[in-house]
Amino acid sequence: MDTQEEAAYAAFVDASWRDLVRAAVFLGADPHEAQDLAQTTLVRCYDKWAQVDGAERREAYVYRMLVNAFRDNRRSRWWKQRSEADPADHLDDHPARDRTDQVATADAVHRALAGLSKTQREVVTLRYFVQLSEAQTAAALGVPAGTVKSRLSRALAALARDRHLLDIGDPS
Amino acid sequence: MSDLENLWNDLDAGSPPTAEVLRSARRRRRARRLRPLVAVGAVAALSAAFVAGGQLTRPTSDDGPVVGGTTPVTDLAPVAFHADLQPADSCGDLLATYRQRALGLVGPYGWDGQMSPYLHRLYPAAELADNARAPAPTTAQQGMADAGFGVQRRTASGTGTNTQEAAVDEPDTVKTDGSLLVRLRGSQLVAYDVTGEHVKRLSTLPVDGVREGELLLDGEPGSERVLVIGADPTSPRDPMTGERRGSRVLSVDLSDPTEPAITDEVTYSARVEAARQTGAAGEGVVRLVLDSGLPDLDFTHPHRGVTTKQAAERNRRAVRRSTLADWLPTYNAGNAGNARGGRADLLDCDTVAVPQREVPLDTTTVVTFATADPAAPRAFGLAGDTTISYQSADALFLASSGGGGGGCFGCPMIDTIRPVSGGTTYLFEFDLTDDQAVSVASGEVEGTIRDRWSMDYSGHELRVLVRPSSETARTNSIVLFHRRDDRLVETGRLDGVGHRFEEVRSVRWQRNLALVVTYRQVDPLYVIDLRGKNPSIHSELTLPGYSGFLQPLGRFRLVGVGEGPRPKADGGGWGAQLGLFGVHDLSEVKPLDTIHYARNTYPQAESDPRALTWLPEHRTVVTLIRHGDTGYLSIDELADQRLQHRMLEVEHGSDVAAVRVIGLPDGKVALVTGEDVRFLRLD
Repeated sequence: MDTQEEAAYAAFVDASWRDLVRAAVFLGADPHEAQDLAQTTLVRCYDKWAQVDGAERREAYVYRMLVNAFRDNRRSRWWKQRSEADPADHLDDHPARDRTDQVATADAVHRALAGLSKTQREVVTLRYFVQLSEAQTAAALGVPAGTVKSRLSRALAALARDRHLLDIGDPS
Repeated sequence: MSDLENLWNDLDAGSPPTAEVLRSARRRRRARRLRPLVAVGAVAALSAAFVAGGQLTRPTSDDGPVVGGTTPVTDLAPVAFHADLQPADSCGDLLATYRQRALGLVGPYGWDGQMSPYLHRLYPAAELADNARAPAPTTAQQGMADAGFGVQRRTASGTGTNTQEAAVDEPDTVKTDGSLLVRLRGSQLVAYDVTGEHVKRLSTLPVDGVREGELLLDGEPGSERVLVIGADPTSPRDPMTGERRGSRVLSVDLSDPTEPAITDEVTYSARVEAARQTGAAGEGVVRLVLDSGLPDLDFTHPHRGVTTKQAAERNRRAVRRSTLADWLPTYNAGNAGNARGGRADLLDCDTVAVPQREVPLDTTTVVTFATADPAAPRAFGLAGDTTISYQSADALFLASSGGGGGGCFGCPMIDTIRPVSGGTTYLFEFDLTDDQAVSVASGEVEGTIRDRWSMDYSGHELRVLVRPSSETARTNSIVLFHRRDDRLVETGRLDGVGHRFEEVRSVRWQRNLALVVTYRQVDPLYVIDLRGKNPSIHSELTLPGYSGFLQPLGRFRLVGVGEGPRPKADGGGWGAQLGLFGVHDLSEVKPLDTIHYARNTYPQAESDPRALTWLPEHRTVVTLIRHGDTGYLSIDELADQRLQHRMLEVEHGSDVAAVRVIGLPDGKVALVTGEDVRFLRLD
């Protein structure tokens, strides 16, 4: 990778970090795990970076890697062991106040999304929150665009029912 | 999704560990080089899908510009400015610039490197959204001069049309001056007397030379004149859009409405994109914005005996052989029956300004003429697609929007929330005099604007509602501009109007505030304070569904017409809705009453502001609601905090769009339906 490409890659890391971490949390990771996942994903993308052409495709590619990394984590035994640990154990790693807030926020997200199936959750995270295009979401999840559409609308309907969508009172 | 949205926004990721990522990545690559190639297979296969063209298509023409590339994603710098519009040094130079820009756009099938100027015409906003209901164009209005921080009443223009600006009239299929009412139905111009107890038809005049026409009305009662403006049915069609390339303006003398007469007929070789009228009664000045479109050159396409490469080369040759006659518009002004002149050039080489390369290629012409003399137009042009035009009482703004250098040929034209990449909107300001428009300033802003409703000019300040392009922050923004010498300079900005992934549904500009409705599943109605250096969100009201069109009734009341979920008690589902809001206290807009229409109803005002009429003397709002093939008038009278509501079935089929309700003097109300005009009793 030449310097120009590396500079582009570095800029991409800067720009996409926050969304990747947030997406990982929305997929189901806790804040610490989410940062690990984002970092792992970005490192893995480095090799193929210059070959994936265009900002649109790179983005879809990175998110595909992220979703896969998250799924891998969930399957591995390492995760099973970690999930038994109390998230508060990590308080010592970072300034105490920030940590609790982040953990609490992540918890709230997980509770809100608990009513969705895994695949619905993936679609809502990528399409709705990260704001990938329909084509990008389809590419990232390896499903047809029509499936993205239908899963998204079912997911949004489920969230509406559970009142995570309509946080308002009666209009009259 | 308001709480989940907030959670998303609240999640902090810390600062990106870029250096560490780079170190790990380099280390990993060095380590992997030593492993057998087989281990890399999985990643290679994964990325191959993205490299080889998987589900994200790219332009295949080797003549078209490549989208994407290796430009890093950077923080968005706001507006930069560029030099004024300048004409070319000579006709030769002007032609050279057209040819040169065109060479980059032509491929084996003709014009296929640039789709962006056609994007909003081929796929009007209603078809562009996925997952959302048919969205409405943004609608906006200018408040009256002197208000403080408050909502001002908006009613129709002097000729009965709901316009964007109070002092600038717009065409419609029905026009009135209070005693004479004229309507255009197909190829017939029908005049009525609306002064008596009943509506009286006076005359019918065939106007075959114009298709899809609309009217402008000028003159004192007793000496009225109507301009019929529309497409020229004898002109060729643009193969890209299917529309007629030419247009026609007919002038009809109605001083004796029982004997109307066509007095002028002016034909243009370009399409009328916008028409507006200003000036006192009898002294009206009309301004047209014409769009030439890319010319039909002698293009070929690949076929037996002609390869793709050969076709592309032949087409390039056709471009190199093009002349100014291909690019610049002409007109023909003749009296009906006696041709007063033949075809003449509408523009000279020194009245065409050449903007920057990035403005999509086209020719836009601004034509000015007095309503009394449409055969003597004055015109200037721009060698670019700047056909989004907004006119206030004193200034005209032209904008080219968001196409950038090439658009994305073959990409799904679907995503309104993340539009075509390379989006920069170029803005040009013109001062208006009675017979001309003078270029005074230009500027640009990152992002796209959807249409004229996204702009507003008040107190020497230009306000623009900008939608995200792929290069910018992904929210809508309101940007303020002031003129400094010949530049439009950004002087203030509000980002984050609406949460991510929310689309702006309607905008209402007032002197000191803007009302903005964005939508995903719920409808936040934002009151935006425009008084400070930067606009700011003054308050926010969230309701289910959305308002696609806002009508300020006065200082205390606002009506929003749109769609939303119906109450479970009424059977649930989705349909049109009309909401009454209390806006006396703008820090807390109050929903007062809501009318839920039947399932699967659609509010016509969402796509046509002329489908709603506010009749202040009756304290009544009348708006058209569609249900399948049938059109109903919803007639709603304000009774303090609630609406007294009734429905009236009025039309069917294609005539539904023709329905108009117009307030007349003495409290009379004219109801125009497909077939006729009658008075509507509101008690």
